[in-house]
Amino acid sequence: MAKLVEIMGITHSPNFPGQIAGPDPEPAIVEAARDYELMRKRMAGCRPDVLVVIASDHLNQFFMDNMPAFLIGKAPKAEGPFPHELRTFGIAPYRADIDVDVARSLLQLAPKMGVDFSFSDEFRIDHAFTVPLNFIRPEMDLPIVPIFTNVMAPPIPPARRFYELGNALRKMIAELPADKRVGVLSSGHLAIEIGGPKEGRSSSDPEFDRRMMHLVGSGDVETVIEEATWDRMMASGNVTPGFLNFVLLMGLADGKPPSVSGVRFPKSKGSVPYMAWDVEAGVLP
Amino acid sequence: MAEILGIGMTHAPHLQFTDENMANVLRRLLKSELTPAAMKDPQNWPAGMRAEWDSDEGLTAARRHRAALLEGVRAARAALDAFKPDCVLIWGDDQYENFREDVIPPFCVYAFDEVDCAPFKASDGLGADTNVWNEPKDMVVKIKGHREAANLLAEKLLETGFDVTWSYRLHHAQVLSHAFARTILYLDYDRKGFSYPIIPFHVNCYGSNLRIKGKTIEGRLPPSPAPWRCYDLGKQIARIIEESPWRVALIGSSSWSHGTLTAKHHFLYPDVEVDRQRFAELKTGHLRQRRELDPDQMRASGQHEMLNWICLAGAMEGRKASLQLFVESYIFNSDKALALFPPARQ
Repeated sequence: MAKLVEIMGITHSPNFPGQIAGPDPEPAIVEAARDYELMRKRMAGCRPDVLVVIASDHLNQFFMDNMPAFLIGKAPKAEGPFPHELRTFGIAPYRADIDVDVARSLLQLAPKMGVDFSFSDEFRIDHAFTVPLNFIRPEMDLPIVPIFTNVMAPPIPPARRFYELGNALRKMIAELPADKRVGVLSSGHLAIEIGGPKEGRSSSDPEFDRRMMHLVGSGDVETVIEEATWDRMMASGNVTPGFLNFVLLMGLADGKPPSVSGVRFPKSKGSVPYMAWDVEAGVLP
Repeated sequence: MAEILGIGMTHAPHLQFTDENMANVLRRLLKSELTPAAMKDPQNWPAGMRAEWDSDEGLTAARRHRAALLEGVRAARAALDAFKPDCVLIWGDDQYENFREDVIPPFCVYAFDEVDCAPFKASDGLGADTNVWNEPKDMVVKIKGHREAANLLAEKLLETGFDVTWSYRLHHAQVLSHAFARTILYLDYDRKGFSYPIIPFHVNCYGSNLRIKGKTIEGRLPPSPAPWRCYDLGKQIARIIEESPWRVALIGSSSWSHGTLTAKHHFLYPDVEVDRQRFAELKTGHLRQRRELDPDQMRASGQHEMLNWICLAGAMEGRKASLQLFVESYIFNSDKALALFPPARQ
């Protein structure tokens, strides 16, 4: 039987790697880079055999002619990001094998738990996958299972459904037939705006960021679900619903508060959150 | 005021083509090397199958089959016209038409303003291309959609825990998939025109048994949504409609057991016995039994597409059908059924 060994959430901001690598990075970026190095070591210390990676597609391949709410990629290889992302952000590419057995097993288990995953055998992973993977597993030596969530194109599932999906995913992982150690890495962000008047700020809504990180940090699931509505998130910044991938982690952790969490506020280009749960230390039942 | 009419019907190709072609699937299989030699001998067929085949290779049976189906289809159209729906939702399957390797969803709500429909395309399965209306094979007609209602359904289903895909236009296909196109075609069998806006609603009926002509699929494919999930989805859709301003006809569109999906019958003839049981259950009005059906049994009986009817059953929970027809056949690849559920306030 498989074992869930780590739950972790970090940003997928494609600007963040450049902010770290740039000349004379500001203190908040230095601190955030240090946070992420700790996250990398933390995941490595859990010795996962496979990483389930939860992230979104930024209208790079799933469009309004076939917009899945939740999708598992089950092709043998994953590669990304898209060429225009490489050009625009100068971010590093990522290639990984996919643990096809685990992907298929999740797709077999999901219908029994009332989760309606779509699936794909032809896809790429965009910066929402490659940025966090390059931080957490730069060796590219672990197979992954990509789970795509729609946080971009309304109508999207509400916060409660993301929580429920996380909860169901924990049960699915426990039922996986393979004797594997499974780490889960979720990629999201807090308030952020792209192409609107609030673009480029430290955060498009620092109050939202602090409030949500406090609620996540205290394991206040119901308040998160109540407050993380589409309208509230959009008021905070026009792509803020990426936060829902962190709500999924709260479900995966069965509502328990994370062992560590925090957020840094650089002077520009969005806040940098992190959160992780000590799964093996007995936080989860 | 919201109101719902329920219709269960078939989208099998047989009605579209001539009686002489109706048994072509069986003819093709009788020539196939994959069919055991013993099963090519009618003496080894069920008695009912021999009787249908008779001395004219099923021509007389084809005429009876068509007449029985038309009775149901015409009753459905009359009910639809009397109901005057704002839109018609059709649960149907996709056979590698619009959904392919890049994304295969369990459920998809199509929110079209309008969509092209090519109803007279030749049937690979029947190997026939002359339609009974002698209309041009390449004719394309425009069918209206109801984007507003479809959007509402997608939004409300996602809100209530059904992870549906939604689509504003066709993905791979150029024209409406066969399940929806033929449903409309048969509802317009008497060529009166079909002006009701539609909401095609895809159900991944084939799941692990999806077959792609000329291609081998590596490994296990994910299963179809379970019967209980389809039932609950149908029930939730009915709830959403009841709180909407629209009069909606809900159509579960499929034949029941398919011979070409029934391995235990060497893919020659459908599981008529099990379909008879399903029809007897339908007649009792205990629709909730559909929710408990065993997916493995359904697949063994070639009833993959019945999931479309199970969505309808969920939506019709607590209602009685006013008309129920069972049109069984051993030689025309599938059993067909028709059911009408009148509006609750009628």
